[in-house]
Amino acid sequence: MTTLVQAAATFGPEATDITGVAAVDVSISQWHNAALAVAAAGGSYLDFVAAADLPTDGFQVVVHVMPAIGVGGVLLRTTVSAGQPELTSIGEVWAGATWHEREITDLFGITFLNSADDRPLLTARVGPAPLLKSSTLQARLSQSWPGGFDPADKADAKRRLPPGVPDVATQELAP
Amino acid sequence: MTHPPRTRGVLALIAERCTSCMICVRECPDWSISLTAHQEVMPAPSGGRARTVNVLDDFTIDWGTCMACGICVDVCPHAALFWAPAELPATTDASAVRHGTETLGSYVAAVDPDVIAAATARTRHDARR
Repeated sequence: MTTLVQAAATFGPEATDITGVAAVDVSISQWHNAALAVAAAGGSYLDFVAAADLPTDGFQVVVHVMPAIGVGGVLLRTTVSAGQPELTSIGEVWAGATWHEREITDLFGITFLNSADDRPLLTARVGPAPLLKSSTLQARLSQSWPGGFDPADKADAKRRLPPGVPDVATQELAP
Repeated sequence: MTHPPRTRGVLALIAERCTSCMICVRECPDWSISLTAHQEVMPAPSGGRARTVNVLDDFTIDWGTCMACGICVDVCPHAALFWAPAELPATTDASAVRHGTETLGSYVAAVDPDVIAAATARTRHDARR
């Protein structure tokens, strides 16, 4: 009997995730096929679908699937380019994936093609997606950083910037 | 109502110890702390030279944004900030959630003296002043 990892490994190289979970990296064109193969091999329990904005260009989208009985889950991973944030939906493979995909669209702006339901779930999808590394919290733009104050008030003092907030002077601001 | 002595109720500020070094303000992840200060030149002691020191004007904590993480207490190099086991009063006035130097100073009496003594011993505060 083929395990979920073996079923997925026909579509891409095996790896071990940073958490120690068996993972398989597939291309976005094989994303849907790999999901079908994992489901056919007994992967009937959808754990989660998640995304991350990578430090390098693009997003990583992962889905963790487990067999309904026993152990031996697999983490399918794919990389979506930032220039064309589109990925085929796997909602028809596991219906519950649609919910996670709507959330990912809200938070990262990735479009899921052929999705049965792509209504906004958590946000109104106005402006830049909130979990992009390039997005700045509105609350951080609407008030000035109190740490910019310098009691010495030297004219030649180095300009201080708040940690974790992109430089507003060089940042394209939200509309 | 009594609280355990190490309760993270409110923050107490010993304003005389604050050197306006800005470390707590810059470390605060919620941008809840702000302070204003100016510089004064202390007269030269005999045989010494004049020193410029920061003098705190006002120290403000916005309880509307503070998440009680305690980073400011941990980073204060002069043992000026402490958790006090006191009650943060409820209010319907938005400006009343910002506490200034005087209010924060009034909480010092509630802080366990042993806590203040231990924190003071970890600094060279007494040797510096």
